[in-house]
Amino acid sequence: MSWQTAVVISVLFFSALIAITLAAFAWRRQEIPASKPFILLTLALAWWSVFYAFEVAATTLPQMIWWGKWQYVGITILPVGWLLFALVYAGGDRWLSWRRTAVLCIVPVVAIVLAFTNDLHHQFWTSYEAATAGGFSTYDASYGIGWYIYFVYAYLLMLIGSVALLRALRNFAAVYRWQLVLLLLSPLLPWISNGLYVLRISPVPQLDLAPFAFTISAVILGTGILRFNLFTLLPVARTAVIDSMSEAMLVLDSTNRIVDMNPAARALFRIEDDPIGQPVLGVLGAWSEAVQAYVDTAVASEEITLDIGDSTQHFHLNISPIANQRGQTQGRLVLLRDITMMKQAEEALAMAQVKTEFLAKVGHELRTPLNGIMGLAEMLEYGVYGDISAEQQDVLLQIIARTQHLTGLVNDVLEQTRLESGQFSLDIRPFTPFDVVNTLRDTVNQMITRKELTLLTEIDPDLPEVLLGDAKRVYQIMLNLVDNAIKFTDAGKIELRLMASDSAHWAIVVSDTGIGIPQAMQHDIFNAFQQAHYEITRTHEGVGLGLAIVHQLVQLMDGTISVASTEGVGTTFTVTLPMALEEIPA
Amino acid sequence: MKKATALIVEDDPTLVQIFAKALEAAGFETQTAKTGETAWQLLQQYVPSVLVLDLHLPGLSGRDVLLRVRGDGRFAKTRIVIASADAELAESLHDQVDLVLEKPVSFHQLRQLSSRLNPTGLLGPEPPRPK
Repeated sequence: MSWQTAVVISVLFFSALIAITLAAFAWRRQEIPASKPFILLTLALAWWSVFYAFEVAATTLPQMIWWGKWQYVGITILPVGWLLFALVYAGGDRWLSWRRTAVLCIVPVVAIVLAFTNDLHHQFWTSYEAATAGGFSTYDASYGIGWYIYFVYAYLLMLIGSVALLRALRNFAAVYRWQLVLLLLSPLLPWISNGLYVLRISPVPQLDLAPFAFTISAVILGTGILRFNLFTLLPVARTAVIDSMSEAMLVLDSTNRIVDMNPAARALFRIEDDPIGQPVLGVLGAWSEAVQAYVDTAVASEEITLDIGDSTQHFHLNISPIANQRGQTQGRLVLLRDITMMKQAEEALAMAQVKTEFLAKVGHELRTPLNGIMGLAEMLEYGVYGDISAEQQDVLLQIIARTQHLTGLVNDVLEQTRLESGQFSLDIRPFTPFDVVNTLRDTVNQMITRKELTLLTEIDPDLPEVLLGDAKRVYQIMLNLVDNAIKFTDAGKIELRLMASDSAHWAIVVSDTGIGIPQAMQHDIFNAFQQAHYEITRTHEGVGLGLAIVHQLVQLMDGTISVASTEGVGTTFTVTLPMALEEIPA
Repeated sequence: MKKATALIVEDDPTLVQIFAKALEAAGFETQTAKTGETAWQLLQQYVPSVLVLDLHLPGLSGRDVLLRVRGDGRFAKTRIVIASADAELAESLHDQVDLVLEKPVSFHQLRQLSSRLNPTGLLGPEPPRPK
């Protein structure tokens, strides 16, 4: 083997190695659409290089021809890989489908078959003869009709791919142009060198330089991938981004003429005629005051308001200079982001916050004097300050009941405020449902007795003795439901049942023999302040927060509430809550 | 047998009166303090069985008093009851006290609960109920 042969073989294996490395790199980045055709392209290149090395290393003409045929597997796949890669990269991949890809492969497959069966028909190569060139053995082939058809086809694919990339160039920002130039350069090299070989005007006539050229291409592509993020920055996305972004974008030149305006900007300013090339003051004449204010502003980032149509809208305005590569300012980029909704939400939030704080303060201020009134009345009634008459006691009990009612209202309003403010969290601990029911019995006992009702409580023996949850809020749910039942029941009984619904849920069921809830009203009863809309409030005091609070608490606990009611017969509320059990350490 | 003692720390005079009567009815001998500072001074002189604590106090807050009491071994056996209108703050201290009562605190409620906290088990004289 001559030293020239050794050098050529080494270079070819080196090419193959680079190509395989690039394929491996692309394999790891398969989420990027262009990576699959790129793998095909680089593997075809590697294949070509390796079998060309075998051909160069071969010593007899039949061996050379045999390895020459094997090269055609890579040679024919390569233009297909290039076209697919170029189309995907330039964004024309919508045209691609498996079927079309298969169609593209017909000619290459036929070419491979013709190459391997050439001895039968001589339509691919008409003759071969051994030759030596530049110190190593090779062979000279004359081409047949099959080869020429393939040759034209391969160059056609290369051409289409390059045109697709060139067309996409118009849409590419300057930052991507280098990548594109690199891409266009890369197929050009093998193209030229292969052409030189076929036309026999190569400096080394018997040596096809294409694999070497492909190596240089592969290095260029590799540089593109590693240095310019060729894979991650799909240039075509830029136009799509600007067209689909919700921010209004205007590009102005140094004389304040419109260079570019995205669809969002056109929609915002209701511009129907083509504004490109027009002075911005003319196009946005309706907002001349605002435009004048920024006519000489090179850099801005601030909030502005514009009257558009009948409404005042808030925007975040961003102006930045556009400079060329020498740093000279060539124009300005103007971005407008509609922040009207955000502004309104901020205002609403601030108002809600003020309201919440105010109500909380009022609530706290009310509780202390309420405590005084109730406590003093209770002491008098209890006889702390001496005996009182039955009549006095009756009056005191009424004062106490009224104060309790008022306290309940204050608590409800405060609770509703807290729930609405979103500053509410559950305090999850183990608790005993039995104790909660007992406390509730104690609390409502007086009210039950006063209205001569019966309260029945029942706890399902299947319900675990200890549950995990916010006992105080569970109590509040039960109390509000029972309190509500007492309020709307004039005779009969109220039942509170705790049941294990299934292995994952438990239920609080409160039923009464009260006046019932009209069908039309059942829908609304869980909305805050709803009771106030109905006649019923006049005879049954309340602002209608009790059930709304229950509803919100149940939702916070990921539970559900339902109501079944018949007018004049009674009402049943069922609250179903997820059953959480305390983890018992093993 | 000596009566159990209770210290009521509350700045509202009416509530002081109610809490004191309720605790007396539950068998306690009561002392009262209107500020956190006064309370802490009194606590230097004796260790009450029960401490009823409002949270919003002028000067040294109820929470500060609570921190000091909880940090002082002398009060290990003192039962602490928070009586506050600030439900959220009171709840956040739930773990550090024996009872949390949200205002309005009923006279009866405090009387019944504090009698359970009375270590002597002695109840005050049950006032005669009118017919």
